[in-house]
Amino acid sequence: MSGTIVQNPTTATFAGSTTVTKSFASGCTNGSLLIAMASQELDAGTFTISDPTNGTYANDKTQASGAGSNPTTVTVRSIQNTATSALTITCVVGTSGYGTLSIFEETGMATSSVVDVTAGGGGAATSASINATTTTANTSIYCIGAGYPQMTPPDTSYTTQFGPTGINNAYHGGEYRQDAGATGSVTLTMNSWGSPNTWSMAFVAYKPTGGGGGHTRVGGAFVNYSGVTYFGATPSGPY
Amino acid sequence: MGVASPTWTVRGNLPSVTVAVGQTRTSAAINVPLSVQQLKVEIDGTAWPADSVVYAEVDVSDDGGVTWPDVTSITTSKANLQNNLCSVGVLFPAPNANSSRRVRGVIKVLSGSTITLVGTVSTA
Repeated sequence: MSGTIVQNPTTATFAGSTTVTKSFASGCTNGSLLIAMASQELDAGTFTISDPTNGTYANDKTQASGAGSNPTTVTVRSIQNTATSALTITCVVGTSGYGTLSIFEETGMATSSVVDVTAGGGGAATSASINATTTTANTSIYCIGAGYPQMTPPDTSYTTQFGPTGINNAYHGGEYRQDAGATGSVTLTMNSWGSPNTWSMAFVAYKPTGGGGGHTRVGGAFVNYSGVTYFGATPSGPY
Repeated sequence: MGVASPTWTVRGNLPSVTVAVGQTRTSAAINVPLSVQQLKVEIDGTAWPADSVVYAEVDVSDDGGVTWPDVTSITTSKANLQNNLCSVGVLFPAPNANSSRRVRGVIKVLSGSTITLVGTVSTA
């Protein structure tokens, strides 16, 4: 069973500042998972994300584009929440510039070792996509990217969090999927260009309560632990 | 080279007033037109004293300005401005379909010296 995204306010944009905050509208749930995605238009940019109750968020995945025209850095971070108040999340970047901050609260998530897999990629290339293989069923996947000269709409089965939109020298966009279903390969794509362009992109898959391991039966499909799907067949292995 | 930035439309001006340390100034509630997908408060800090630390907030209401649950802010100073400007904004996941949606800007000077407020609220 997947987690449930219970709060997902609009995405913040900022320019000419090192400190941006975003607030949840309602009180948070003790034991929930708080996720923050941020981007900035700087190669190897640094982020510190925190809230007053839970402290500094874990750096689950940060990806820089590398040097080049229109460089960027993106990050996905999280922390297990212990607050019941409507928290304000603060993101501090190392150098003043341009960027975004998105925050989520999700319940029904693992309370330890919550990260299943991560993926990141960046550089100067004619296409931009990243891949990882989830090892837990029903993960929630959060993805952010930035690049130039354009980004494509969200990947199939994913929901747009924001963008893609031009902030200053790059486009930024974020997407998520509350329930990624069975384990298996996940490839998310930002764009494909005719000539090399600078990009950075990261995603993190978070585990639901109980780890989501084993197997699930959905609509007659039986999915085993390694992600092989048997339609209408009787499973015969140790599941 | 910059990206093809959105076409911004100025919807209102922040009050053209001085803001002393500890003071808070709030703009009028401004209608967010349908189909708008982002908005921002942009402040011109050209004339700011170097020691002023400024807090800028953009609030969004979905009930005509009765409540303002969507709060986003930045804290900055003259040294951090980009081309003497700073901005704080909001990206909606989809074009605005709520005719009761409103936006307002809130400015405070946290420390340093008095500033003269010059800024706008824009949508795209």
